[in-house]
Amino acid sequence: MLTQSKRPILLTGVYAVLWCLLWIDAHAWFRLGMWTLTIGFLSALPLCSYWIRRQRHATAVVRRAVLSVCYLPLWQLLAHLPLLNFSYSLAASLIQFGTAGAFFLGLAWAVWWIDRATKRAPEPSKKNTKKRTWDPRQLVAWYFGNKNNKLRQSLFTLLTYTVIFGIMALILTRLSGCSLYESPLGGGEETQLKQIVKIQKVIDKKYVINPYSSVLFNPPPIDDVKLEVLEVTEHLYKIGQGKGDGAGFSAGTTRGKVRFIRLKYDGGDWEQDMDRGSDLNLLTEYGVRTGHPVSDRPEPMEIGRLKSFPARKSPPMVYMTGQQNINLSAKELKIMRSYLLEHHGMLFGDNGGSSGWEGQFVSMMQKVLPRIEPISVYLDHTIHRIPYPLPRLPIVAPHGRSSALGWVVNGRLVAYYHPGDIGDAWADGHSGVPREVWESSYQLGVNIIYYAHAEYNKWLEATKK
Amino acid sequence: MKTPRPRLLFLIVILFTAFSSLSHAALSTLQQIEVATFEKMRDVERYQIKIAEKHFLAGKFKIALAEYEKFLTLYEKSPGAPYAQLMWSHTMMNLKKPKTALRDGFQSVIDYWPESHEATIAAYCMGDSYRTMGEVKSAQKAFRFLIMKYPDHEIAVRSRTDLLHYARLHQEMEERLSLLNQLTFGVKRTDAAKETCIKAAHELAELHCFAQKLADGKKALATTYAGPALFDQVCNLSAKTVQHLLKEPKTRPAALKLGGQLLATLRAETLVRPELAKDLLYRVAELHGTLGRPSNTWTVYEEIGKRFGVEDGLRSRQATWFLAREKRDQARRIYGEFDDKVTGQKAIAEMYLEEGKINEAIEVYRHLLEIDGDHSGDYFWSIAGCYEKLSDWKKAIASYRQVDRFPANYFAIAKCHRRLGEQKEAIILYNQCKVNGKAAPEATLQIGFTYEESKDKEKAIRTFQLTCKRYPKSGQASKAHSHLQNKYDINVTLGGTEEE
Repeated sequence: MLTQSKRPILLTGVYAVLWCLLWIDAHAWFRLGMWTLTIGFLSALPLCSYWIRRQRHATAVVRRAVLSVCYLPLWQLLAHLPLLNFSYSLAASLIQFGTAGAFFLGLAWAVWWIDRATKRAPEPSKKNTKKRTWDPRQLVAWYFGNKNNKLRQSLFTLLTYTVIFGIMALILTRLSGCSLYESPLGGGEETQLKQIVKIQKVIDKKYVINPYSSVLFNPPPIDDVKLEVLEVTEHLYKIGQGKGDGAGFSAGTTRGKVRFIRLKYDGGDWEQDMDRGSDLNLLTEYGVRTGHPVSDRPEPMEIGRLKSFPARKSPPMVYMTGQQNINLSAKELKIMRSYLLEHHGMLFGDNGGSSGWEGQFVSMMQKVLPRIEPISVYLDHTIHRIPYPLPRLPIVAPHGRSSALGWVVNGRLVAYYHPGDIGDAWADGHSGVPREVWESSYQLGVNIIYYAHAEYNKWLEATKK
Repeated sequence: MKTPRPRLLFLIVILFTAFSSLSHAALSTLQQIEVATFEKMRDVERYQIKIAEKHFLAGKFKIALAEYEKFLTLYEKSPGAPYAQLMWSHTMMNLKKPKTALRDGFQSVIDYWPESHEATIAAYCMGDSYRTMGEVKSAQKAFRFLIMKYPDHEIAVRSRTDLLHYARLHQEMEERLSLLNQLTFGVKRTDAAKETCIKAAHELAELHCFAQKLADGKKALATTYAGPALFDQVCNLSAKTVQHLLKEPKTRPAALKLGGQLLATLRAETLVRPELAKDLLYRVAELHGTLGRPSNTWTVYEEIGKRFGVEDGLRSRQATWFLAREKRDQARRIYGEFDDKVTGQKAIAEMYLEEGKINEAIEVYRHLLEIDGDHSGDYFWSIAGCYEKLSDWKKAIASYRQVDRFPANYFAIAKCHRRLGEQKEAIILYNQCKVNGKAAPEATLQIGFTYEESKDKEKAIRTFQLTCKRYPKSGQASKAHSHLQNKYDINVTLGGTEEE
């Protein structure tokens, strides 16, 4: 039987394991919802508070140790909370500062430990003076030399700690897990989304009643008039692709949802307009307009993580925006190529605000698909016609060219570049652009998401074993 | 039935030729109607086609489309109907609807009038539409079919050119060589095909030479050139090949060997064609430079000087030679000896500017003002630029004022005023620049930046937003939009447009 004093330690240990799983899910698996994660991270608060209170009369070292351990869940909680408000840049900053804090905290403990261990270490025996000492706790260790041994030991500690911290950080930030993307189940034809409103002209019968007539007239009561307005003005909001019923895709699943994945990349401001609800607004509009179940939040994702999706369960479309530079490593370029060609994905690039970004995007695509020339995506392309027929290309601010660019592989658009900061029109307040522009921006966004999913579905159906 | 009088018919043909040569100036060969077809058409049909064409050439494609549709509705059985259908498709292409053009336009020409001249053109246009849509495989298939079906037609040449482009892009060397061989040796060199064939011959020769097959390269060039012209082309290509081969250490010995042979050939040619000896010797000098023997280059220059006398062309090369060796004083001395004083002094001024000797450059430009008054505007502009480099804004303004280049000089003066902290004067000048429609967006944007410099944040933001609102399709709107986002974190830009 466990003693009374050991039970909290055991329970805390169990909680720590669960917390680690929660952390991995938040960074690699993405199975749990945003609120579940928040509740999970919040649950660390009472536990930390319990341990801090419990050890308040303990020795200074124990108290500091408890505070240091509590730092990790509290930091993660703090970095997670801005995500509820889609403040991705704030969350990223908190993670960066928190990492620096964790580094210095760990360094302080490493220095404390080495100092303590050096003092406590047994004196080397004088009999074996010729034998080399390897123990770093001993100042006489051979690799510290004969002069400035203490300084060299400190430098050794700092170096060793930095390397270990760096390796751990590298492992944790490269966690990719195994993600899944499933489209919603349904089917239908690829048709243009039309609002059918039959205007029926109802000519009211006028009863001319002669008050002096001997014939009795009975005008029909108003409740008996059947207008059938709901049926004739029903909107065709359920669209899909493939053999199946309801809004969705034939190769989808009942738990499938349309998600909006934004790519993180080095060199630029990938998170542009995300804080202003740009992606979420489009995702919500897509759900409302097409009837497809959609995710409750957009997902920022590193390019490297695209490879974690298994074949036939990867996202049909990923989004990329910004206005500075795009610096992709050779590995990332390879992952992108594999995603576009082997995983049948699609990249949607939106110029967030500079003519230079167009060059960055085109040059990136030249590296990803060197043998494919970009084309000017024409207005009668499926992407501009279904579900919404677009007579013109909406542009919030022209950053370079005036038409969209596309990279076509086997008749399928694998990348679509929009020059006019369409994300600004999706954001809260629509950046002050006229209604017709933001409305067609939403329509174009819906078309692109739908096109990518429909093409992905066709590929799934065609390659079904 | 009356037969038309020959004189009247002749007059019609002459008038049509003159008219069509004027109006068809912007129509490509794939968009022009055949004279025979036009002759057969009735006046009313011709008139309708001309109306549609007028709108097409004016870029009013929607109206042109309606006019061609009208023609097809009214004169369905006209000999001009396939042409109208073809032009309807071209109009669709211009309206950025290649899919519709292909399905409802070019395909219809082939289906309804398979024997017509337009059907052949439409067949090529279908391939072109596939290319526009990025469907490379379908485009290649269409082009290959056309080469097979119409081997001697102009469109077969176009198809080969298009296939060649894809062969280059996809690095398919075998197909590239095959197409280049066809264009160089197989295709009949008509007026339309001549230029393409010559280009192909050059490309083929280059490929052969780079692969060290000089004889094959010469053979390719011999299809186009003969005699001395062929010699010149072979020499040029050989020099290029030497340059190419020198890049790789493996092929360096071959390059040096080829270079030696070429030098000997050029020397020998100076004796055969003494009238061209000077040019040939220049080539020898150049080749020595390519082979990394600069001292030999100088010796050849001296030889040219002795044999043909020293003139500006030689001096220019000698000065460049000194510049490449960082002997700037000697280069300047040679520029000073130029017979054409203006060119020499300009080069000296540029050298001073490169060296950062601004005052000396100004002195040279002032001297140029005296000896070449006709181009005083250019020299005042350069002097103003020099003063800008010296941060002497007032003198720069004074120089810019003497230049007649509106609105560029106003922009430059305004920039100087801004540097002097005279933002009000700058804004007045920018407002004057707005008179010029093309300069208005830039002027408005600069007004915004000027307000920003004068710490009037509110007016600056308003002006940037105005730029987005008034000129939503301009590049300046793009700059204002991103500046508002980056500097002020303002996303309400009031811009937005829809590009047709």
